[in-house]
Amino acid sequence: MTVGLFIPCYVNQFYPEVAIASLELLEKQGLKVEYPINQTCCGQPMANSGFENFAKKTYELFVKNFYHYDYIVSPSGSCVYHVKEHFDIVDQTDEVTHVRSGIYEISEFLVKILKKENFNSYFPHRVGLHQSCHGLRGLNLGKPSEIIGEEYSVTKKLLNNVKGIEIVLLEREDECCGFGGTFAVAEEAVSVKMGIDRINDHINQNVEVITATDMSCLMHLEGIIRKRNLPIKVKHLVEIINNTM
Amino acid sequence: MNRESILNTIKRNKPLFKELPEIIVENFKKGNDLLESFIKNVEATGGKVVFANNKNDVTLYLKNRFKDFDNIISLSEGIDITTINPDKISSAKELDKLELAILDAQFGVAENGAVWISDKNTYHRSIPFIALHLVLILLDEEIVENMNEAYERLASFNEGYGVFISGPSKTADIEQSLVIGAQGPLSATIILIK
Amino acid sequence: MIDHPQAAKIFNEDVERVNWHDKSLWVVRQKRDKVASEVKGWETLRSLASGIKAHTLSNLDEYLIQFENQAIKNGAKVHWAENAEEHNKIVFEILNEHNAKNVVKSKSMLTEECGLNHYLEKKGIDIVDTDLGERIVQLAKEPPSHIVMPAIHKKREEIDELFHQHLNTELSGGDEVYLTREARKHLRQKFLDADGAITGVNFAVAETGTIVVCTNEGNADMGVHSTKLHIACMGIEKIIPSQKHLGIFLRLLARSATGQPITSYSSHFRSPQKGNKFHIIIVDNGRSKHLGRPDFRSSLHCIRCGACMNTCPVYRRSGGHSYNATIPGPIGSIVSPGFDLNKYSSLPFASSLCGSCADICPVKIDIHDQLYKWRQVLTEKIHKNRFKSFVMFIAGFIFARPSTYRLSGKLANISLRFLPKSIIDNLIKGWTRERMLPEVPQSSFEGWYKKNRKT
Repeated sequence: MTVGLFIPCYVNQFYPEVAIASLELLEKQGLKVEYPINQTCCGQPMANSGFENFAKKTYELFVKNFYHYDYIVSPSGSCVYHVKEHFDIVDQTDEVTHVRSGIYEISEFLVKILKKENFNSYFPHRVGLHQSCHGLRGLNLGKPSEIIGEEYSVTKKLLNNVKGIEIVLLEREDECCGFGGTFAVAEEAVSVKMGIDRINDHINQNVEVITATDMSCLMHLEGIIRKRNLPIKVKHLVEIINNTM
Repeated sequence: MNRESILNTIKRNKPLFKELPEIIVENFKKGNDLLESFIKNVEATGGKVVFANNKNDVTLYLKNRFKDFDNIISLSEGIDITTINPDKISSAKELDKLELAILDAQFGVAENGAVWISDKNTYHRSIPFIALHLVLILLDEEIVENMNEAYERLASFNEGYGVFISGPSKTADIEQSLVIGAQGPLSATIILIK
Repeated sequence: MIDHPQAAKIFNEDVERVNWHDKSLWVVRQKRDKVASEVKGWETLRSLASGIKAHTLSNLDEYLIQFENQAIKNGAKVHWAENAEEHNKIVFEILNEHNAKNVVKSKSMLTEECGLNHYLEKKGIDIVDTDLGERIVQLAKEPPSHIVMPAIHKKREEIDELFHQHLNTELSGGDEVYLTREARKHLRQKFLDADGAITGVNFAVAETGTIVVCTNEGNADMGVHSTKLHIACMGIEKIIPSQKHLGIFLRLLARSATGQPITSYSSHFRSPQKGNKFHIIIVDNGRSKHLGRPDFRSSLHCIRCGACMNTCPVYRRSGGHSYNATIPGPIGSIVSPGFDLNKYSSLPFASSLCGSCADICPVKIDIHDQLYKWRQVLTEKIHKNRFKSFVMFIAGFIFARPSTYRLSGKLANISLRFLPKSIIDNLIKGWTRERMLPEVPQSSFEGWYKKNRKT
């Protein structure tokens, strides 16, 4: 089983530790993992701003870089969702189809493909799970609170097996953090307010660390946290899972 | 002209035909105690439930509870406490001072505490709305579980008007604070007859 | 003209108020969750409702004709209005025919869309909105800010002052019971003095020619049964095929809208009471055109429950008025651009695309997908923001070529660490006013990978 590791542009630049943790975690499972050096971006920033036509060439480069892997794995729910749902505007070649169906967000890959939920992880902290929207609703990583049905959550399954962890229940389990890509700047006031409200929910429950499947959410929340000197930290889910004693 | 233009645009723009999905009513059945559920839901709407063995009981109860009222219409056979001459009523204006209206309901719906009445239960449609207080008489076995079943029951309905009434009138338009009694009756009582 | 981001910014200046508005609507969302979970097969109901609406749209002309035939058989008069002006004209003509000068109206977003009140007032007709929330905004001379709870943005003290001014009530500190009782007296007089009643239509049944109107206050019925003239206004998309389908929609509507299993009154109007007149106006106003938009036509499924607004984190924190559209919120943002691309160009961007609206919509409109698709349409048709266009083109160029990407990454990395904060702040001030930029590590992941893995 070959795995191509896709790292979102901003994770590559600003949060290499998330990418390193993803790589290490996958390698520990005995998989052949590669990071195609010519990868760039999934095209979301352009497409979500309404310029998906400008993103076509980016999509083609993405497929070129990744089609020869059995699976493509990424520590980013929103990027994976974008590839799965919005790469429909380029020619649907075999390569494109394979990439769209073979791409997985990392927690989904671990639980659903490797069928493994326990990684001997250790993280003795009060953790609040921020359920990033694209992962939750777009990739079905869990049951959204507005859907009526049986509870399930891939991310909670993984976190529940972490030794020493205390997962804290929030007032609003899956409200959006307000990042939304260019929305963060185009609708600055609402975006920041949404972020503040999320952070306060965690602080009110005495959360030490906010975790999520998307570094974009955490980058936005961390930005607010640091600006206001709030007593709370963020950490990507894969870093927690990859952390052993 | 408007009509033809609209219909032509629709014909031109409508999507490819899609089949109508089938509704299997039994799949929605919870099978819980209908009476218990009905009572709980009537009370949740701000309505009141009272039990009676027969219409005489009902008459006694109403005479006692509403003893200070002198503007009453009863449209339920066997409950003869009407104080207004029905022949004099031909418009809502004459009903403005109506304090109590008593009507028969045809059946109730357990999931939401609603009861169904129609033209045959009233001789002027404003009566159940304009009265200060509303009382509805229902046989306790005439309860269906949900609205899907309700419409099965109404399959042959062909009167000019019918309404599901669930509780008294209400509003929460002022800072989401619930107030019982808006433009319709201030109270709704269901009297269940065995 | 102020756009959504600007209006939202102003709305957020009063932090207490935003919190209050957000909380009020979240409570309604929670109520909805509770009652929806009590229904066996809730998600099945949604699928059925969506399927029934999709089927209906694919056969809409036939169903409208069937509805018209039935309604006429039942003793109603049916009119067709291609647009808002036609609709208003027809309403006025009917009222004029009956010498009706005092009209009561129950909630109808369609009449709001057509600007009916304003039109009739100019013609000397006294038109009173009888839903309490609608009456409040009517007295305040404001548009409704929510399609189900029109005055959700108003605080009790404001309503207290409003009633004191217009209804001569005592100042009560906003006692809702007192104010509601006073409104009841005031509206009761309006009902008795009215010589015409206008209602909206929640559902129009093709099979039987029946229209169904749902209220909690009983104001639709009070209006219709107090007068001799009933005018019902409906959009073409309100049609459902058969009476039994009401079982599906009535189970979904109130639960989604207010968290009640059903409204106090679900009135089925088929024939007018003896001696009365019943007119139904079928209105297009852009709907048949919208039907021809494959990506967007499913927004015609909408049953006007407002659940999407209650769940939308953006709507809750910006308020209905910031959308500047008859229908605000998520559904408003995908319907309004169809009317006027220019005027509503900021609306599809007033969303983080979280997808909660699509999950909660009882008729399964893929709102979040349509917001995304409208963005593509808007950038193509409206080249207002040429700079953004240019930046996105450059971004597309950079991301499509690994070599330029790597170079620009290095530059970004370097520049963030060594360039003066002021320059960076000016470039990306929309971020840095309220947020710190992420710290820049010594090396990117790519750099680390090259050193530690790549041979």
